[in-house]
Amino acid sequence: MSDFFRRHSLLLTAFLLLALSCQLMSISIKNAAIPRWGAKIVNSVISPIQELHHELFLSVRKVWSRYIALQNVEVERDKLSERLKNLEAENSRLIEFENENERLRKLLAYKGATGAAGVTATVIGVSGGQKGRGENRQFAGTKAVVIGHEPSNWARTITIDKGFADGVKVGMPVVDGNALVGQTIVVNTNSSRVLLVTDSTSAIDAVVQTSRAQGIVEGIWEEKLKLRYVSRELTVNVGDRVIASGLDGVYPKGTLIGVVTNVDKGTGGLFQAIELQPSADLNRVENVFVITMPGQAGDD
Amino acid sequence: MVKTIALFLLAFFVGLTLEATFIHGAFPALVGPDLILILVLYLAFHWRNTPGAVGAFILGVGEDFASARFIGPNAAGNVIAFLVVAALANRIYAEKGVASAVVAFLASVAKLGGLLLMLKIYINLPLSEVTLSTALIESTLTAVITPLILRFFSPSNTLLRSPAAADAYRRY
Repeated sequence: MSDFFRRHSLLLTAFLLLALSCQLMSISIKNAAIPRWGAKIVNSVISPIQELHHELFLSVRKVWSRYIALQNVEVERDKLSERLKNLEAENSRLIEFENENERLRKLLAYKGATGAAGVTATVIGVSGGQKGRGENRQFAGTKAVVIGHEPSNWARTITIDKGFADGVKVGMPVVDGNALVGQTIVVNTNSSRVLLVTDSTSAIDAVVQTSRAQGIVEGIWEEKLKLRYVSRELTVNVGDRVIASGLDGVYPKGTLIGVVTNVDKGTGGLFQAIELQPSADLNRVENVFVITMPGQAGDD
Repeated sequence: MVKTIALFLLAFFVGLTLEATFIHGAFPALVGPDLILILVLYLAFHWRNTPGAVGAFILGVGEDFASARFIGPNAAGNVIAFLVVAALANRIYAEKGVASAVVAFLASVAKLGGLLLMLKIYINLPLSEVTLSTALIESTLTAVITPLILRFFSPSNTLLRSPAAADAYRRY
């Protein structure tokens, strides 16, 4: 018997390690704090080097674009790009105000037509959600620079140069001025890891801006998003904008997530399959804004 | 022994930093090679025993921590890759040149197979053409750079070899 174990010790060890991996996977799915605790340690070693690399990379790029290639064009392009992002964000907010205006008009018309007494109200939560008051929130935040990306090909995260020292906490939403980028999941003193919306573990409570169809936006890793749990009876068209509903209490209401690129109602089932293209360019995002909301709960 | 472990840890952090900066940092849209797998290959070539398998597992746990999502997929993938390479290295000399590239490709495919299977079972990660093509590209890139990196860990570097292998090299 002992001879058997000695001859096959490597194989037996490997099987035990595989079983341990499966057990660790089950534990880390139930308790996300465990892998994030380890990530803090790894981040604390890697992020200073990522920051240094980012500075060097920027310097080389500046020398190239301003002196070797074209002069001043890069500055003008950056200004125009910033202005375009701000205008698109403002446009998204204005469309939201216009839709709200229309809904309130209809409510007033209903009250006038029926003579019914009552008050208008804003939906602040569904099935136990308590925190969605996006319309009346005042948002504060901090600008950050992306200094690194996920080391592996199979997850979607970025590292930014702001951490505890700058008021960043776990669970804060991150935008690029125009659209949603993700949420902070690991926060060190001077850096943080952001889970991108395209990651397969990302889920956002969302609503289609025109039809107000509600669903959950999930990342499917291939730089695309899926809007799930939208009833087949509701109308969603290609080109519709999808925004955060604010009902999950994490992402501010009205923040643009993406644009519908494909709708498949299928022949059976309760829900339609909807694909979105994220509005933020997650492969080229360089500057982000971490929203620090009042009363936002974080751990650590 | 302590020096060897420290060197492997250093190599692990260097590999991880390179992946997060020069490879994915500079070109985030592109698929990059798996540098940590090359360390696992080295372990399988020179520490083809229980401590080597445990080392591969620990490297995988470290990779999983770096992703900040789950612990387990990379650890399982590394153990599977270790077994594949250990089985091949028992039969053919695969430490240099084209043979090491082929072994690296097979090991990468084995690792990614285990990793994607775990993600599919536990979180229902969709397995599509894009997933498979990414896996293929990653395996090919890893295979291409493996001979170059293994040359760095050349036979003269006795610190990274197991004591038995170092003795054998000195006698040779």
